[in-house]
Amino acid sequence: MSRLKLRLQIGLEENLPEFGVVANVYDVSSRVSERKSVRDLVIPAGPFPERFEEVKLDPGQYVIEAILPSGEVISEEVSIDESTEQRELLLKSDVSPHEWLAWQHFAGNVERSRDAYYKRQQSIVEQKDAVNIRADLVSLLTLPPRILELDMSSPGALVSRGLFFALPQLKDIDPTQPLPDSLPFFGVLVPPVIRDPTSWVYFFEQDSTSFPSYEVECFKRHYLFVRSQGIPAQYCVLPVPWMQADFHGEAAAQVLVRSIAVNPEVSPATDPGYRISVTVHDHVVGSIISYLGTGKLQAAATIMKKAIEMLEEKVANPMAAAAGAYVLLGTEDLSQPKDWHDWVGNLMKWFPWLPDGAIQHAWLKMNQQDSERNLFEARASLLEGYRRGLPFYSKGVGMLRDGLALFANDARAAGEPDKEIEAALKLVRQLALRTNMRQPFATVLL
Amino acid sequence: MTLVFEEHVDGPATHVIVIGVGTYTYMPEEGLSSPPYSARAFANWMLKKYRNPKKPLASLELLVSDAQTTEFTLPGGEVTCLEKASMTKAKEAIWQWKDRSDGRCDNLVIFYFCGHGIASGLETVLLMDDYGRNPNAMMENAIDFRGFLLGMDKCKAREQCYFVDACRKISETLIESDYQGDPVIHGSVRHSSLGMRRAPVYYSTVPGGEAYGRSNAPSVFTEALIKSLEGAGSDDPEGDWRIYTDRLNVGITYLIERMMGNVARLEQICPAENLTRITLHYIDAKPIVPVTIGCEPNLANKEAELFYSHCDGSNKTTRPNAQTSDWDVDLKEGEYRFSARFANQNYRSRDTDCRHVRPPYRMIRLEVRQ
Repeated sequence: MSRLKLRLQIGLEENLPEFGVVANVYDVSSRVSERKSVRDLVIPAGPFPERFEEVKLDPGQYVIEAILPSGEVISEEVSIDESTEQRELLLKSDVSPHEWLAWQHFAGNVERSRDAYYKRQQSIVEQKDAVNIRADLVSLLTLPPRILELDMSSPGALVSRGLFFALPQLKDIDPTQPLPDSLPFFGVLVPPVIRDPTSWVYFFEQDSTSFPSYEVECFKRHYLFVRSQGIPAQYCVLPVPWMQADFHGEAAAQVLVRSIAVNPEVSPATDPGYRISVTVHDHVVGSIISYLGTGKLQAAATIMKKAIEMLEEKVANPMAAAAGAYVLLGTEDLSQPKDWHDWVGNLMKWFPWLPDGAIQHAWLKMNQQDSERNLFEARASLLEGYRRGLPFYSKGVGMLRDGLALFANDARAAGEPDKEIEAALKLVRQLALRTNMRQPFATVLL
Repeated sequence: MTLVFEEHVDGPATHVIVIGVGTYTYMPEEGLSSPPYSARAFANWMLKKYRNPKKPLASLELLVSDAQTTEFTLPGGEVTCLEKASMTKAKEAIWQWKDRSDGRCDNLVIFYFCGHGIASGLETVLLMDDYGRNPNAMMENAIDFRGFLLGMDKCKAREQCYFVDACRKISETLIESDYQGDPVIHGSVRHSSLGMRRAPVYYSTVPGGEAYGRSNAPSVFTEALIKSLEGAGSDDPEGDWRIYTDRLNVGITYLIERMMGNVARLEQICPAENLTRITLHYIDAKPIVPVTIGCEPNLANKEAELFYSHCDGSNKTTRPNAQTSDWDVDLKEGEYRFSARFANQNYRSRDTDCRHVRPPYRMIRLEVRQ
């Protein structure tokens, strides 16, 4: 047996984290009946050359492939002979248009080839479609529903819950001006750290060495508003402070705002003029979130197998744990009891500012229909999730919308419409219509 | 008639519904030539090539609204007349398809739609051919696709696969409307608790209009889908080659990019939801693998004679004309040698060792710098 040491080289900038990527080793030797492939490996990826994933292989010919969240497949062929004791193989993804876009390229938020990126940039610049944007950071202390019971349709409730899209007065604000003081919040203009003619990148982190307490009643939530002349404004959830799930300190949240040429053939939908993409530099769940964002649940579940204990036992970061829970909810049979079900219950109980935990708990209960009590609890948890406000993840918006729709259907069919559910569904449907399905973190059109 | 194929299967089976809308009675200017070709191509593929020994094809419903013809030639040569994809007919067909699929938990269902769609955010609405009949109710005669997906959890079949090849227009109508179409099957929180449902959804956002040169031909998405079903979406973890739903997406994405080249916009690359693993199809022979061959640097392509052959030198195939772009070929899984030859000294001629070509795709870069 020989040892093959594998890693994927992505980017060279040292501020990129190391993270896991799904890889397969295919035995393509001529002895077809004895082929021994190794699938669903998680290999380290990033700029650092130290770490490898090791596989033991018989002498033979192998094709090694890594599948990125963007769908790009990087493959190499290696030959292992009797004399090979150990071999290192570095898979390389080097087509990112800029070093500073390496992570966004990995996540599938920019074109997969340099040529396509630059051609598009050129065409946008030539057509003068490139937009001047203004980005404001809005931070709000979120009081949990059990402390502050608000009529969810009141402006105060909508603002404190991050449901800004439902405030008509926000749609008409001059994008060249600061967010007005007359609104119950104000924004702080933030300049991009890096830009080219069509891409702007922002980094958000608290630079704190102390570990933030997530287990609080009131939590400060952050949003980035992006506005431009003649183009509908958008805002996104900023998942900060983001502590790495393995207690290795804080990870930056990176926001890319990318200019999109207006194409009359395609409805602007939720990307009018520009697109906002949020990623987190977490080396445990960063790639899980990226796979989740491109719908690759199976790949996300492969990475989860390695991360589950870390997420399950410690809940170092409930936002990271919620990402993991979405993967498990989408890939596991929920009717069978599992240890992680308790962990989802804890996400709901311990973090009353986190809508996603309540929504996930509701779906678990909906799938455990051994008693009426479970359905009662599911309905209550969905409404709790709704009252907590804008979910951190787009997946949460979808599951909230779907859960409410199912309860509404049953009540209507019984001839007794559920007014509370109907009111929540009306607002959440509008949210779902404005949420960009291609982004893992909730990004909403105003 | 919408049921064009039905065969009794003892045990688990596959039930398919295919809907293609190329004409819109109340919006004649919105007619598309591609959806009828796309729907027929997908239905034909299912009838002629689909092979799943564990879940053989048991039924196929086909509805096509086509300005040219209502006929459909079955694999045996028999010609049948197709129903138009009106809302009423589509609903009836969907209900029958769902009822048939309800027979067993281990059945597999496949839903395919090609036509106009309206989409915004997480919502997608599929327009049937009588959409727009009532200007006062613009969302009538349209399927609320997200609601339909929720409703399909009532279907006993736990493996469900959805292909939505719909352009996305006039989404403002959707945002302004309180009603987002008919879910056809209403979901219930008291669903049957039949165990986990695997329901991957593949969307195309490539416009169905003429701008992308797909008049009177299957759409880019459907062509990529069918090609992927023939190889790019396959793997062989159990020895034989099978199409898996999570691999299929990688193949479709690559093929769309390859077909559209640098014209492909990021938002046109096949987005997907719930990509869990279902075994969709068993490939009879070797899978066909998309391979892209090019020189490094790329500029050398236009001076290169590019060719490939089997490893023993047989079956040499040469690129007909040198071009600046890379050379896209489809090869059977196996071992090949790839070469670039130059008549001048600007670049170094190059031959690869024997290279294994296997799904989902292979990029061959020939380093030819002097």
